[in-house]
Amino acid sequence: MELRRSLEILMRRWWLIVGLPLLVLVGSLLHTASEPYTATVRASILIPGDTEATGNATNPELMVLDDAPVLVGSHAFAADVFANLPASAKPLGLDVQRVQQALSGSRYSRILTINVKSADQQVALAIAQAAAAALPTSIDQYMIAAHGQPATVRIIDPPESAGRGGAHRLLIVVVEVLVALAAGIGLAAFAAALDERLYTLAETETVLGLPVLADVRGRRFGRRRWRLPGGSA
Amino acid sequence: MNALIEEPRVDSDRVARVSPAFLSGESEPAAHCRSLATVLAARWGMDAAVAGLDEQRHARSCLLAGVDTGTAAVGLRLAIAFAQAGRATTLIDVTETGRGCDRFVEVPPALTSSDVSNDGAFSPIYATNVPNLGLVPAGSSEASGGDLQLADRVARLLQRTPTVEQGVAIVVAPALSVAPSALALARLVGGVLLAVTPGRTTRPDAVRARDALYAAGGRIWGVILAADERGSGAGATSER
Repeated sequence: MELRRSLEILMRRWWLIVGLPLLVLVGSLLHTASEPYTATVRASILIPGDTEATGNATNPELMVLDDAPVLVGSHAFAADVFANLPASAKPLGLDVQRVQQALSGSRYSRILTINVKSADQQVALAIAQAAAAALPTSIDQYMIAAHGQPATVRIIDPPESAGRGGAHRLLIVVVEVLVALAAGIGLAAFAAALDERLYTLAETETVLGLPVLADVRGRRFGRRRWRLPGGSA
Repeated sequence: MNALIEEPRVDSDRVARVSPAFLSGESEPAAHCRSLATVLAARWGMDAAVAGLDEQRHARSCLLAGVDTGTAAVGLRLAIAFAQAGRATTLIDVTETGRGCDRFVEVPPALTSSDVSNDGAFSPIYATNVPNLGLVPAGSSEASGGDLQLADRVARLLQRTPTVEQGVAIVVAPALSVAPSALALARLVGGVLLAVTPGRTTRPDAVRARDALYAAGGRIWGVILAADERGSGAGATSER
């Protein structure tokens, strides 16, 4: 009974409970729709002489790998990627500068992740594929000393598609909507706590200690109920 | 016209016409008011069976007082319900200049403010196009100079309402929040119905109005849930 009463009180502000999640859902979907397409390439990179002594200044292989994301964002790498673009990508109207703007990288241990972002799905995928092709050569060219032993670069996640919002976007949207729903319920409860108005017949009778003899508002205001002076309905 | 009228007078030459919307018994509010009239009749019957009812009270009368809204529409419907049930019914409108019902009653030109007493004299009872229903535009307490004059005037009006068998009087008061002087009427009538507008009336206001009515000697029979009459022109705003 208490639960039902609580629900009735909350539903007086149903628009808040429904509206807030709806607003968040629409905002989230719009945000997703305006996001660029992203294609990802992951590669493991082994620099010759890696001793597993992370941070050892005399064996700075992993520290050298810190330069890999910088390399990915460079004009030199963009030029290599542009050179590796397939012939089918020519009509897309790309140039080195656009390729450079689309590329970004990050490193975790020996894994280099290259993200390619573009408003055009085909462009994102084409650049990512070209980046995967250009990466081994570029690493050797720009991160290994001249005449040194080449690095071992293996593409572990080749680009297969370009999508929006990342893999967990749906989950994020669902969580956002659920949080908004909880916030809407909280706001409705808070507003109800501050609201001193009378709403229901039972509430009126309780507050005033008087019987409600009639509800003369009409159908749209809810059920009517009669009570004879003696108390019987 | 404002002269003291010793006997009830029905001016049949000038009939106030109630809006057809109120005459239709099909509407839900009309049906509700018919049921409410049955409840009140039962209450009056119970009171009549109990000896010792305050003689100052008009036995078969009822004050409709809204916490923060007018009660003209409800009062008119209730009065029509009694009249259509064959009871001689007097609707006493004590809202501002006694015209709270104007939105619902087409008043002939002759029924102007000059007909409304504001000097302690009695307003006449005007016939309406509803058989058995008389209308008394009795003016506001402020216009007549204060609580005692209003109470005195209404008391004398109640004495002069038809005394035939089963004759009843419905007094429509302005919202108590804007015209607390209407409280003085509570002790004159058989009972009071406190009108509350769900979704608008606040708990503190309702409790304050209830306590004020008790303090004024009113016998509150119960509460009615009424629509906000402000928009209809018969509510608190127009009765101010």
